[in-house]
Amino acid sequence: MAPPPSLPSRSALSRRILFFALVALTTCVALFMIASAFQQNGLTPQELVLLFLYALLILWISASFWTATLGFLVLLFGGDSKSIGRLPATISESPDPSPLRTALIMPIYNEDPHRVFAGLRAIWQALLETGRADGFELFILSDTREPEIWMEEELEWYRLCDDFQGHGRIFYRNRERNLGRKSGNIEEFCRRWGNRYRYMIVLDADSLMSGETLVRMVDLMEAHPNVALIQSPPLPVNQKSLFARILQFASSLYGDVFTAGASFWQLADSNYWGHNAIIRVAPFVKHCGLPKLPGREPFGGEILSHDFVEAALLREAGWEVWLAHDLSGSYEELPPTLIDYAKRDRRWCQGNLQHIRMIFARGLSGISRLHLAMGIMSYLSSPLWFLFLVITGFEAYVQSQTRPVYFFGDNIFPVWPESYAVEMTTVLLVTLGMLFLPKLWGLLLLFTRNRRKIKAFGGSLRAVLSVLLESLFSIFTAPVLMLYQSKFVLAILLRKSVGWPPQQRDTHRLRLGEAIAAHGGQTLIGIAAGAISYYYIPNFFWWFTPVLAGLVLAIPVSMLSSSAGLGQFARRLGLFLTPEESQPPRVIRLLQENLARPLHEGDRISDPGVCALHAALLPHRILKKRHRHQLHALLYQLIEEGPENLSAAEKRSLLSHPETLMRLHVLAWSRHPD
Amino acid sequence: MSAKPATLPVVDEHPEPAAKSVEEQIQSYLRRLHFQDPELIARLASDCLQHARRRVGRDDPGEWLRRALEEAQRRLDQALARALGLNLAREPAAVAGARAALLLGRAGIRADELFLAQPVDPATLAALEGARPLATPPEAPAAMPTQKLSFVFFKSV
Repeated sequence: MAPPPSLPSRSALSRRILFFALVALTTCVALFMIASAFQQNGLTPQELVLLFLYALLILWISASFWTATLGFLVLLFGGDSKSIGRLPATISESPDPSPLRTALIMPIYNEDPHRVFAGLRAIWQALLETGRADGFELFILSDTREPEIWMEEELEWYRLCDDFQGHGRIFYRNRERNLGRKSGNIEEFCRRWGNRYRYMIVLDADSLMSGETLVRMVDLMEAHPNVALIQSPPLPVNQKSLFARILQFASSLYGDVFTAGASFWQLADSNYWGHNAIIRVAPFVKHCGLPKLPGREPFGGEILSHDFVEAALLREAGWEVWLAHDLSGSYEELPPTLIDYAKRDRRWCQGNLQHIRMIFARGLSGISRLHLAMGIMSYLSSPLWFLFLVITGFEAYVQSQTRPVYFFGDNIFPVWPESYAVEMTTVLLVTLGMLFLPKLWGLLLLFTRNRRKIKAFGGSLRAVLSVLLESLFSIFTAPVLMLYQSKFVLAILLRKSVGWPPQQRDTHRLRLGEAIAAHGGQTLIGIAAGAISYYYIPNFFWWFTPVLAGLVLAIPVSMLSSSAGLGQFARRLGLFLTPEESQPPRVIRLLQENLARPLHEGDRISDPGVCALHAALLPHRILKKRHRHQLHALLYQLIEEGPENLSAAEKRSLLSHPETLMRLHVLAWSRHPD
Repeated sequence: MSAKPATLPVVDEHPEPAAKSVEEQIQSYLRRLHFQDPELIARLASDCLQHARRRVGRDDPGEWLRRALEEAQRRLDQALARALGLNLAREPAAVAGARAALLLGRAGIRADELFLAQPVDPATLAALEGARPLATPPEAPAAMPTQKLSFVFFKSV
């Protein structure tokens, strides 16, 4: 018999009726005002297009606004009694037969081993301190291809085991072939060890979770046997560049209202964000084996943004998926620069646009389709905004060229054109209000419910100043991101795939050449658009200046914001401070201590210990004769031409067999004995 | 095997200019393999060089060194396998694991102990066993069927 649901369905229904009614009402009012302004002389084709675009955009904005507003109200009145953390435990008549063991799994791919293992150490240390680590095992699921990073990961893993007596509880596996990218990596883990664990907590390479949070997530899953997945809201931390610190501040101050609001109306139909979430392994294994989509990339092939689809499949199978908005102690990191942020967006954009087909999958619930649509819209909204601005400019030009007619027929009295400035200004203000009010909600909560955190945000004055500066910064960066995302969407629609590059996570200041290459086109577009609008439609130009300023100043803004020095200077001034910076929780302090540990650099292949470890971890394989000859040929090439002339794949081949590994090792030692 | 064996004068037998350097490198390698007793190092180096000399030409000191290095590691592996009751031919990964534990582990085990006449101290063996890398637990497979997705307007999978 299936376990009882954690919550009666009427609770969800009433909340969703409220939410969708608010969104629909706001959209209708805004559309009515703009339509009445357009209708004074009948609707032109471009006005019809504008209305259609605005309808889509205002729907998107009002959904986001009402999510934040409902979240604000929930938090203002002391939280949600129907959140997963506050619901009473449900009892299942058939107890789960799987072993009560949780795997912390971290899929990694060519990441910086020092950072990855500093984080893993911190998580494991924090877990040990809870006294409940016995129920957990740690699994590093490496898809790393780079030979040097592969060996470094193994060494770091071994040290982690050795330092915390973790042999037999902390595991490492490097896949021979990384099929299916990250979801394939996790799938392989499930296929091989799925029956060893009742739960798995999925971590990203930059994830950080406190021991208490990990334990709490397991307890929540135990208390609610019908829940398949609980997503914790990860908070960005540990940032140094100005760009990432501003984003970190925004997430810290405003993030709660969005997650509380989303949890309010989504309840047991929430979503999965791919990491910092606990998953019940049995239903995941049963329902989340992802197929390849027909056709080639970018729309076909492997499902890139697997998380949304997995959550949809779990919900379709009758399992609950929750967002635990009040679960703290879950952290992640952010790309350090605007360009890195855009690069990450490029991957996510492709993954989300691939969901266009998933929306039409049979059997998915309406909420699942909505989650997929919202993911798509988060990228599609940029080209829509871009189109909206271009057509608005064109419409303004047409209007400026139209001579008003005051006298009709024999009528001697002039007919003054009606002014719709009030309606248009109202529409603009309502739109801007919905974009910026969530920031105010965050600030209001700080001054009402979270007064004890004011000091941690730098004090009242600095918190307000930080909000103003963050808003200004977002005005400058929004047009740049709009152009980037529009370009990505266009490229994907033209079927250009993105590949699977690892993320740039470490702080690095942008060079002028790099910034010009990345933003030069945007700057030119800004200058050209400014010149055209100033010359042909000067009235429109002034309305357009915030967008133009963002584009024209893209290069200096991107360069300055990439600076860790400026980020730290702002921190010394008490700007963009977050509680996690002011009073770092234990797990963040542990991470910082681990990052400060000295690096033992050197040629790993010539180190007999590292080589022995690598040999010990290689899977037992019987080589075919042809493959053996190929490896020997590679060895001769290595001896004659040196390691510099071997590709990473060739080096990996040599490292993947004990015999050639040994040859490589002695070659390296004989060249550079340490 | 005696605890303090006599060394063989390999370099004197092969007075090539590179021979001295090769012997120094193999001794250095043995120290890196956690050998500490100078006499044992000298003897093992000599044995390895002699063994390797039989397999390479006199005009190739580079290959001589490489063969000698391989021989040094093979001898350590044999000693480890003997001490831990492993079969080197059938369980090379397990022996490599023991070697990794010896070289990277914090137990502070000296390779010399494996070459003494008397049996290896059980505490040392236990420490070595405890520090052997265990990359993955025993498999507990779960069938993960690929889901069938059916689409309106699109081809189903």
